[in-house]
Amino acid sequence: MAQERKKNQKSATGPVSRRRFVQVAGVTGMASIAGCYSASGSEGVEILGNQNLAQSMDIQAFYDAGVSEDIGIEITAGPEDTDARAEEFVTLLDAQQESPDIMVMDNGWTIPFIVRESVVNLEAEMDNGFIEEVKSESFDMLVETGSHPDTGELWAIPFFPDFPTMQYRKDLFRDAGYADSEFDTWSTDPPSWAEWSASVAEVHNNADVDYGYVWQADSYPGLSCCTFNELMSSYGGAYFGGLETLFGPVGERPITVEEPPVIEALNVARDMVTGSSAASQEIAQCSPNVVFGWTEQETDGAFVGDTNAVAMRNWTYTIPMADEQFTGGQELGVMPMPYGVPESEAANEGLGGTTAALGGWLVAANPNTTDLESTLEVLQAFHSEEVQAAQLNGPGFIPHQPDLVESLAGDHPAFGDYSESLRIAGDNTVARPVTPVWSQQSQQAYQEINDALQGRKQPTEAMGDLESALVDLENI
Amino acid sequence: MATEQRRQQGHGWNPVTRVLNWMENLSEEAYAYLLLAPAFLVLTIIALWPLWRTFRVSLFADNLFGAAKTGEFVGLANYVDVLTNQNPLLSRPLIDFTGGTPFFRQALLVTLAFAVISVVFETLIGFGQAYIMSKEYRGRRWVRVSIILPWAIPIVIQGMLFFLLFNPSVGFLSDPLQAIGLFGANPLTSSTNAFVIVTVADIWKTSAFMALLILAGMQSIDKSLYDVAEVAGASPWQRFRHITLPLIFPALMVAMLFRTIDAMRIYGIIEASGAGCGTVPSLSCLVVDTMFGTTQAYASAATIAFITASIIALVIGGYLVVLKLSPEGSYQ
Repeated sequence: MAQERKKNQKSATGPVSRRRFVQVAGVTGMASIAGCYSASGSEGVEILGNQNLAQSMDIQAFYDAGVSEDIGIEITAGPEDTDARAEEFVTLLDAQQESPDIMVMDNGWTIPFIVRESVVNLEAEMDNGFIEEVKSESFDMLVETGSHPDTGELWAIPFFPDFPTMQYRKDLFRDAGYADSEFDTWSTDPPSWAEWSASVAEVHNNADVDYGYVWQADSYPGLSCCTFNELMSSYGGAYFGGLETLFGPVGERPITVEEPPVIEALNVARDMVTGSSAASQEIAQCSPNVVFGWTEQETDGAFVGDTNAVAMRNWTYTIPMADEQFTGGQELGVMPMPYGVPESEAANEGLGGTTAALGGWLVAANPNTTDLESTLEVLQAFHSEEVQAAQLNGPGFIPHQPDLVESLAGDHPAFGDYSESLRIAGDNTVARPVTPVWSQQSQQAYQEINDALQGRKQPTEAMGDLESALVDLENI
Repeated sequence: MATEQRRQQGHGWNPVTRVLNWMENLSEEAYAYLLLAPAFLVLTIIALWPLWRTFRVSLFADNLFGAAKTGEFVGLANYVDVLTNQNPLLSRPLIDFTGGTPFFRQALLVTLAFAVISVVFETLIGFGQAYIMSKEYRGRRWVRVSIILPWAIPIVIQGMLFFLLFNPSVGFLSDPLQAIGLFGANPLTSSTNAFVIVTVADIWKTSAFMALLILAGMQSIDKSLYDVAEVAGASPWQRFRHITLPLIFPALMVAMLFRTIDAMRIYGIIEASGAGCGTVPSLSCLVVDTMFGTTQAYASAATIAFITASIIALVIGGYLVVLKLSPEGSYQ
């Protein structure tokens, strides 16, 4: 009986006693929890950007620009995708994380961070003289996307602008009878969309490539913020009246997507693909219908990767690769984007003429940084010539000061031949109407624009639907 | 006597020792529950606390223009706005009773249609695959591998495969399907075409999951039942109807339940295939679009998330009722 009890007890506890099991499990659990905690934060100033910046930027430039040698500077890489980067910043700012000290932010979503006071107000912390210098010397639109829309105070310093240009194959144009003098003219004085579409169609008919003019018309944020925004602007149209009301006030600005210039821009875009002659201008069919599902990557693949297109709309960062690709018998041409109507004929002031959508990035300070003084010292260096030269020569980012675009980019091996075109394109940018509701407005806009381009809706119907969606979002 | 003294002097009165002693004397069952208790506690916190927080956030207004994440208390107003298509922050309507929005652009209808179609097809195909896998023949190993292979492919790779099949510039299926009038020129940008592509992609991948669960059910059936039925003159259909189906019914319902829950949460394949949430809006898409990015409409996102969770709970409830009421499932 006693033996039986002993056996039962043994089987109940098993080869390892319960006491021992609980002790081991408890200690292991505590050790695991303790292991989850580790020291966070780093010495010096951390700048969170992308892989290209982290790998190619010469940090010495910051010290050459006057940053104290005592301040360590580290550049780390965050997500490449802009939306993922925004989400990362939202998360780390919500968690009041101390690092990174400086955040590289897309100008397409910096204003919501400013309005919510999630980053440092630089005007409250930095010398007024320096702030005024930044405002007066940088590309205007880039400054506006780093400023509070109500007060005009600067919360983020411009880092680099990005804007699209028209890239084309000079060799194919020469084969069709175009002369170098025309290329020279276009580089500073681009043709109208009517002229350009006719030229591309003519060259395409004569060339052994599958595509004429390739651009981005997928149903994605790039369509509403950029491709269509700049086309519409070059015809004098706008989402919210004009440049004055670009960044608000939300709910008090006019909604103008049903106006004739916007409808004309939609018809022009459709005509380029379908040849439907819906626009009042005579637009030649020069683009493939695959562009309705294409973003930057696909267009770059067709034009640069496969050398299978006559011309392409794309951002400046694609120029070095294209310049390298088209050598020998082939030659790259770059010009500002074609225009819809001359500025003098545009319905809204400041619009019309050659227009490029403004992309680009700014740098802002994390309010939770443990060393705000050093952080601001490094931020100040971003506006120096030394850092802007390093960003051009390293990762290939265009300077944010128009004066430096020509002087620095003029000597650059990839941008040098196109610096004049880049300066003109940079001077004629139009920003997306960034406000805290732009993300949702953009979604409605690109869905309706893509529907209209693909013929699922008539342009007037699509813009009518967009108008009512924008009214609801403006009055939220 | 000496032991008794030691106990009274300290060792025996140490609370830790007393707890350990108490534990040593627990029954096997009680000890098992004791060990499971921390896990139950963690699961309760992980599952119920976020659900409660989500519901709580959904009772406040969105605050898009200030530092606070939410605005004032609005009660159930967010639910009314979302269900009556009055919330402009949604990229696509949850449901539009006015009929002004196409079927495949309403998130609830897209999600339900996807769940019903994919689960029905996956169950039917899974049945066939399980039947093939259960038979003895030469090369069965390779057939099993080929059936299970899609299930092993990561969702991003699967999405890429279908993107490459249907992208008009590189996909070889796009042109012929357009030529016979089934698809448009850019199928991944058309809500109807893209819905079909996403559904087919899911069926292709997940039928294997159903097949494995149904196979497990089939293999648990006593083979002598079939011998008896055969001797009694039952046809193959009768054997299936009266032996196979009733006996695998509980396993089948569990498999369908898992798949339905999963289908109701569809998101990954929509993004990975290149169709995108704007083209094929699901309930999860609406949550992601509203919550993340720079709009950060936390209250609206919480409202849709809670509605989604409630719909899934209703569906689970439906399955459990069917299982409980059916004679095949009642013994479970």
